[in-house]
Amino acid sequence: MILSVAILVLLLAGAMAYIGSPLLAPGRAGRQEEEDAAFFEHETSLRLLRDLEHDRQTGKMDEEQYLLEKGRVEARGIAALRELDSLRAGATHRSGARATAREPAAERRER
Amino acid sequence: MIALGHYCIYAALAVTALTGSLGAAAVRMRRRDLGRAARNGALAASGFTTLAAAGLVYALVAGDYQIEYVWANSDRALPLFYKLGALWGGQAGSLLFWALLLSFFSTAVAIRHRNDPDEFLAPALTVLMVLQGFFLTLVAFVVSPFQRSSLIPPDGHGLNPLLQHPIMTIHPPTLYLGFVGLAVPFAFAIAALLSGKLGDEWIKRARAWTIAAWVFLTAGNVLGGRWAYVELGWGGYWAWDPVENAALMPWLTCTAFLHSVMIQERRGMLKVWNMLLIMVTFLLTITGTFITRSGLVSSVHSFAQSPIGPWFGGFLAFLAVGSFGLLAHRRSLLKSENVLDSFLSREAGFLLNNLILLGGAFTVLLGTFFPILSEVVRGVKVSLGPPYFNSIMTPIGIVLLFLLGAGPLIAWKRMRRVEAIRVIGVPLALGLLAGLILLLLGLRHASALAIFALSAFALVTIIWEFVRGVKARRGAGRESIPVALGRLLWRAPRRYGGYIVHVGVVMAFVGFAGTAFTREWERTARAGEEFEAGGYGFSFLGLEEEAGPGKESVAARVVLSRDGRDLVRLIPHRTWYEKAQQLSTEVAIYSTWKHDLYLVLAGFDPEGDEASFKIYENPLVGWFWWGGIVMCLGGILVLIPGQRRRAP
Repeated sequence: MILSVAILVLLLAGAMAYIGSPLLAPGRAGRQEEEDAAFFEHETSLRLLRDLEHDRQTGKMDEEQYLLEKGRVEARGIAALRELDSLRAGATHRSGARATAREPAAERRER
Repeated sequence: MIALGHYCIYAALAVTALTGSLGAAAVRMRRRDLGRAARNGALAASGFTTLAAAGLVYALVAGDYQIEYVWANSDRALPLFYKLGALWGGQAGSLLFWALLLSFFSTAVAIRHRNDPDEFLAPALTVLMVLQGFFLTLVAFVVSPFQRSSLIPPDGHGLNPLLQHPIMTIHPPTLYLGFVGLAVPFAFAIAALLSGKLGDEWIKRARAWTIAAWVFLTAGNVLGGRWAYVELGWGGYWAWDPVENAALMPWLTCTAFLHSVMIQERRGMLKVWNMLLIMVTFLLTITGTFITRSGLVSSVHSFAQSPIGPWFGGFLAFLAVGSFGLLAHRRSLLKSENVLDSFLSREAGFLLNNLILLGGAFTVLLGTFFPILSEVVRGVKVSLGPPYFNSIMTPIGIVLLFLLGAGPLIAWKRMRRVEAIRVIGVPLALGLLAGLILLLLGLRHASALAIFALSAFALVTIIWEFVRGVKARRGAGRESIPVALGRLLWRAPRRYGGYIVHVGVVMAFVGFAGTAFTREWERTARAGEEFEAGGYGFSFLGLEEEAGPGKESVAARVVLSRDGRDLVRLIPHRTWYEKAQQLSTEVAIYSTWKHDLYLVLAGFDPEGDEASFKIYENPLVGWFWWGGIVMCLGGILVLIPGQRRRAP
């Protein structure tokens, strides 16, 4: 009985340490989620384009309808790519700005 | 073991509650560290639940009969195989098993989606923890599998004889995997509603889980049918029993969901409908468990009854009010991006398919709960038997079969009527020709004739789809037919895997249609005598008694022959289980692609060496089992990710 309790207390302590470990390195949700959403949108557009192409090749869609749908899906994919680019450019810009801000300090240290 | 088992369940419950709280806090405070802590929590909760289940398995194998559950569901004579199966053979164990599977699914979600945005994963884990918490609460405080027995008996009572069949070690876990697996898409749907991210992302995340759950549900239903066929000895495999219905209803709505999400992905339509479908599907799985446990309706599964029915009823109400309320609250964010352009379009076909599948699920639900409804309204319990179900489900099935054939041929958005007639005309004419040939051959059963004709139509369209795909690939490059076919499956597994599932459905329908031609005979013979039934000769050699630990068996040895040629030796038997005071019938079956010959030892007089037999001829029944296998294989193919492009 005592051994059972001791084993379980040890296991629980280990579990608590494991669960709590991420709390030692806190972080906030942010840009990554927006990037994920844009990437997902782009991926979906690619899949839809493949489906459209297959429908055209197998004769389920005439040329006119294919071009119309293709244009719509391509526009969706391009918008997602632009969103992705702007998010990444923003991130690069911010990290660049941080590097510039650090630069004088680095220069000061050298001096 | 008793104390450790209890403590492990308490620890699992505590960690589950903590994990759910961490997930909720991560959503509310938008903190990644809390989300990651919730992920770790899901793994830890799974660890404790596994320890508890492992403890019970150990007690079953070791024969620790001071635990009431072990005493009630096993004994020393039980083979190891069934001792392991006893984990889900009784009430408390099966609930612990639910919690265990749910914890595995939560762990798999936490690992597979570890890089997903927290706004999806954290609320999804919270929902899964609420579900897991419910099951753990039941096994912790209501029906504990580690309940101590007042006495320490020298041996156990033994497992229910009906469950002592190899299929019963596979069927319940498979079905549970289907039920529990549907918790994941449900959790992602609720997560999307909570986070307000109601695009297609939740569908992308939920899709693979839904298909996996669908495959398990399909396999579970088919295995359940097979168990009933070989174990219950009444000649059939589906009796519209409430528990069978409970497993069929979520299968029907899940199938509808898998079709309607394609409309959302492709056209941005039916967003509310899809949410509703996955909620209803999951709630139906809980309803199924509620039916099994509550004893509200009588069933061949009545061994699983217990007082936990009200708990399930309450939890079902909580889930229904919570999820539908949340959906109503977020309705404005779920507006369709497009409208239905034409009734002659793929999306209209899918919509019709959805309505019919849902109509089927409602029919089954109504039939299942009718005894309760009639008791409430008229004070008399009236059960609706197979004639009610068959009279409604047969036309539903026929329309579905037509849609299964026509659907893949119809284009998205709109199709000109002339074009539709052109593409559907030839396969439909071939289907009708098949029907006409069968009619000329003397087939007079209208429903069966319609099913055979439409099955031929559907098969022609599926084959035509493969031919068109292969031709398109060969037109684009110089590929041989096998290479083109292989690449077609590899690059578009979702589409062609779906067609393979359709082939399985057609085969299952052919099997259903065969039941219209079932024949049965009753024969009595003395040892050494011969008799005839269905064009086969039966030579009864005699009875054989056999005593095993805790059971006595009488087997009849019969040689089956046709046209004077011996085919096989059939040995149907009846077994009396001493502890359970229960008789079990083991049938003998001779199977061909055309039919099964199903021999039951109905009675015997050991002194006079005389036996009476029931013989069933079940035409095309094998097509149903093989159809189930093909459906599962197709579903597994759909799960393959397919051709991927490099990330930009």
